[in-house]
Amino acid sequence: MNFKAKVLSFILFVFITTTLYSQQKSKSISGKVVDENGVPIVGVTVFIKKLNKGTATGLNGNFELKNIKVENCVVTITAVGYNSQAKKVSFKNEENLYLKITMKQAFTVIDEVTVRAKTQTEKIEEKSFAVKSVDIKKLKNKSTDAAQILNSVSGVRIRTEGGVGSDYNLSLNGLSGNQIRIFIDDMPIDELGQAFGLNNIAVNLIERIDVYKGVVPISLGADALGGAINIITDKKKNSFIDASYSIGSFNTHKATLNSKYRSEKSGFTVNLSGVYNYSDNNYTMYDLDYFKQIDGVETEVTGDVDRFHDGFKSISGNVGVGFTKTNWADVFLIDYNKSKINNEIQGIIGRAIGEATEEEENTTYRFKYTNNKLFNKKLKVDLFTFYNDIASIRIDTSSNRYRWNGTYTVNPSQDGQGEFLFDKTIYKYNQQQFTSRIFLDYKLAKNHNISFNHIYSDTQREGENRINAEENQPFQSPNYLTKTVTGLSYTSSFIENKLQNTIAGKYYYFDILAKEAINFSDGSIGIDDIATTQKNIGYSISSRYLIQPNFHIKASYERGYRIPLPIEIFGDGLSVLANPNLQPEISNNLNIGLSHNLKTGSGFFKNEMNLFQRDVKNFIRLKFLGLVNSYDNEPDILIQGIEYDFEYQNNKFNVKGNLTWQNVLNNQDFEAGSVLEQLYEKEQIPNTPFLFGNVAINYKLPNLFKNINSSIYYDINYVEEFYLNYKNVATLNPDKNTIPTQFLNNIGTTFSTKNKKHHINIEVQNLFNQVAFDNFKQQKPSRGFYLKYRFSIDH
Amino acid sequence: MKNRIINLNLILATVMSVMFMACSENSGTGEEINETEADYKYLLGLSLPSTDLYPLHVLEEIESGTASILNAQEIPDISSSVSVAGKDGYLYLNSTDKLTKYEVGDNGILVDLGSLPNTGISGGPVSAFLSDNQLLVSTGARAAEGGTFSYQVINTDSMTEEFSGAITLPIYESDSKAAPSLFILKEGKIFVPFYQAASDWSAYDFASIAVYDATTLVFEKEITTDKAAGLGFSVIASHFTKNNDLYLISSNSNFWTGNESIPSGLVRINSGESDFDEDYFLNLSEKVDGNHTGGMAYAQNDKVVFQVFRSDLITEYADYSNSFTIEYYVVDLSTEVVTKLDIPLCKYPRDMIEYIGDNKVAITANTEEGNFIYIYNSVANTVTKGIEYSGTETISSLTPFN
Repeated sequence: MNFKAKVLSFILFVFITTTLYSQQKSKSISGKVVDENGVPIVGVTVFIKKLNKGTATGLNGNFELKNIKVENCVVTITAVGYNSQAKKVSFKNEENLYLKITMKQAFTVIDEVTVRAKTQTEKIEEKSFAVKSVDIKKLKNKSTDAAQILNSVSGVRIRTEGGVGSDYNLSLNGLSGNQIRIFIDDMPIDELGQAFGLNNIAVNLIERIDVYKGVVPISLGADALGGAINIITDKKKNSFIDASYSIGSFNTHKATLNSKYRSEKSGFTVNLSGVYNYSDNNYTMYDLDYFKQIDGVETEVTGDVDRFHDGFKSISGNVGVGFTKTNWADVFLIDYNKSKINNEIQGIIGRAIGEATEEEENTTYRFKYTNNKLFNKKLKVDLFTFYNDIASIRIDTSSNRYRWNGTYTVNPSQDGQGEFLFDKTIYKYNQQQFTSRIFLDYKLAKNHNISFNHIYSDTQREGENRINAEENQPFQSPNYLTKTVTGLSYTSSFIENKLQNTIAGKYYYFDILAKEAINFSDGSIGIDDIATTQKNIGYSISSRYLIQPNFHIKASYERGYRIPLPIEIFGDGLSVLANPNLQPEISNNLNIGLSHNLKTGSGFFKNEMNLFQRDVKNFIRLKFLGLVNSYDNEPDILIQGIEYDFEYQNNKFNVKGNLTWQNVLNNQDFEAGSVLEQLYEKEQIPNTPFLFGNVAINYKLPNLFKNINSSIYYDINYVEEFYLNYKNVATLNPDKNTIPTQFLNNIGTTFSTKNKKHHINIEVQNLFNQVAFDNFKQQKPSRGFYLKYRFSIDH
Repeated sequence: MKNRIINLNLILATVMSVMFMACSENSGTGEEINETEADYKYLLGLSLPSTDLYPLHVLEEIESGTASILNAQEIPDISSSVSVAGKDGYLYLNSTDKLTKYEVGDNGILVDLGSLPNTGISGGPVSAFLSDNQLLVSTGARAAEGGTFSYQVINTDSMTEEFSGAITLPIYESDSKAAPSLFILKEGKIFVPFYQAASDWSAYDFASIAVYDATTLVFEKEITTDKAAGLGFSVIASHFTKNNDLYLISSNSNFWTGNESIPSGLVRINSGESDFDEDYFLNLSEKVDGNHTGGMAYAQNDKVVFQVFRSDLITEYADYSNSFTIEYYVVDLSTEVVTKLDIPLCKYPRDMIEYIGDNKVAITANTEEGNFIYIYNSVANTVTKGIEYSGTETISSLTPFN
């Protein structure tokens, strides 16, 4: 090998060797990763995919990758929340490369969100209707009923004429009585007798109460003028028993049983429930004027007396058999309900009644079918059919004339008058009602639903006064009322469900045949048929917009009709006179509401405000004529009001309240400048409160006793002074025209075992024994003490 | 200087004295003050059934001017507050369980002076003062089978019951229905005209009056006349005394006793007698187109104002009260001439005619044009429109009490 070859070989050898050496020698890549502000980023992944080698940055953002034996590679840098980067590096003659990486943020940082399931009441209240949903679960331990619970809802006033079982008048946003329809599980109950009265529905049977104000959803199928109350009974899927017994002042006893057995395998279900209410209602009325014998002389005195003829007893039992939560039906049940009521009639201030009574026996058969899973869960079907039979008897045959101290004189005149100073009465009447309803809800597409509802009702009523008189012959022939309400609605949601709209139309039809006694000019009495058929169309629109998830605004409008109830047309044979000429009520209802829910550290603070207006024609009002009443069409009524609700809750403490202000005005148009205009136009109609509110405070005491959950609560009910008659009448003697301010306080405490099986509640109602007046200036019960024990067990 | 000061002081004192005296005389007003108390005389009962209102309004004057329900003073505690009587400045009002005596206080407010349990309530209580402070009253009088009615004799000074009992009217058949129309005190006896009908409500062809001793209320006898089928009416003035002769008007219209086969007119029981004057019957129906009468009031000077129902305008019983079917006439007892009074057709017949003294009869007129009180003057033989009342649907009663 010559010299040149040797040199070339050497050079080649060195080159190769060097190259090989350089290739085999480990290189490293190190560096630092920072953000756009120069702040080191911890935990950034630095990775060479070719070598499957990676590391993460430390606290100071530094990293180092060693033992790299390639000349070129791609280094990727990734981190959550930042845009990834890929750097192509070449070592060349370097052994170590240093990279300084600046990373940019990839997403907007979001606040921490607490996610929890919405309650059923929250879901209801987020619908486009103006609705208040009351969760009853927390109230089941109290000695209360549906009427008392509703009395604490904004815009609602329950005014009674006495104690347990007494007649009551419910008003919602200024509309009252039969203008507000009442349902149990969508089934109309306000025509089903006293057995289904609000003050006879025990709290233990209820899961929640939905109060619809203004627009009523078509699913309730009602000719409600301005609102509806739907009492939802307990729908627990599994078997359970819930029983309670309470005892209280005025010899009050209440017992309830609510139970269910369901087979997990087949869905076979048996429901059994019962309610027993009894009270003497012998509370004290204060400063009453009455006569008593003093030295043989009838002398009028003022003093305190105990009610002595106001006893109330009701017994009700319900058994249902069928299937629930199966593949072919959510509900398939047949129910049988039997109830009996015995009521002593005490009368009203002015005349005490000592012997008149009324009884009612009530039987209901019902079939209910619900299926939410038809057509691939797009179609929901809900139908029920029921038959109700009421047999009622009203007795007023005594010639004794009672005084408020319980003594009496005998009326020596054989004038045929009973205690109500009308002809003596043993009035028996029967009512049969058949009602059938079908509700369909179909999901056209995501966020688009169409619903259809049709309810048919047929009522027959006949009665007979066993004593006397030709005038009562009208009731011996049956009186008929047929009614249908058909509704169609379309619900849609937009903008990611922020905006929800519902538009609906309703068709009302009623057909009545009644008998009326006519006194002819020659003194003879004839029986006349009163027959009428009416058809009306109503419509509504409601919207809800979520400004933010916890802040929404609602608005709704409805043109509604209310067909007169049988009792308004036919009377009841004793204290309510007939009026076959009643016309349906018509109302234009408007609601606008805001709701905001502010989450706090351990709870929330919720505010709601609702503005409402009702423009009513043919307003049907119960007129107080002394000892008897009558329903009649009134001039136009305009209602405007505002109600405010709030609730604050943390771990232990809950306070909620509401305040309602409403003007219920005579809206008849009188001649300008006339006395009638001054007297009535735009004046508050008689006997209607205009400002009222409630506050309820609850405080938990979880560790007061070992293994016992306890709480204490305090409730306040307030009604501002209002007028018995129009304000401008008898302005020189206003004292007789006012019903005083009412400020009632209740206090109570509840003890529950940790396993939630046993509960004891102690409550004092009307804590300060305030004299409070209610419907037609009747005194409400004085202070009362109540004790309730409840046992509940779920399978 | 000193004298000047003295003189100035004297002048000043004199001026101040004069000023003081002048101020005292004028009492700070510069006008003569006339402190007169209100002189309330009349009680109006008002009826607004469409709004459940039945206020009472006490007035000083009804012969002229206007009044409004805006100034009505009273809202009775219950809707059925019925005027029983008014006398010597006091009112006697009945309610469902008691009869109360009132006086009229400031601004016309009624002041309760005492109450006692009553004998019931109806729209037609019957009463008569037996003396200045004794009131015979039956507040629950209405047609009853058997004809027995409770009464009380009340000491109106103390508002206590002196005694009570029951009168049984001498009904024709045991199952007849009967009701007292009036209590009339005449010469130591109580005359009780009573409505009587068969059990099927058909009226008999005669009118009856039961006569009782005014002190003991013991039944003495029954007198009858076939010139009427019913006499007097508890809900409106329907008798008077002239020269101690007692006059009564028929009440046989279909509004009350319901036997229009017999003409309506006036019958008489003469002074010193206790039987009908069978020679006297003033036939009014023949002078008013065959229509029948309601109440009447004596205006003095032989003039009697009476109420007539227009049968051609009546199709059903409710028309007697709720439709404009009533006219008013005056008859001269001496000449028997009947003249129609220029008053529009009225509705509501109860408690609508009252003698108010000074030869005048007040007629309450609920007309289509409004609610008024017309005044008939028997001296001038004229009728004029008196007070106009606004703000009520019906004036339901007029009770003079002073």
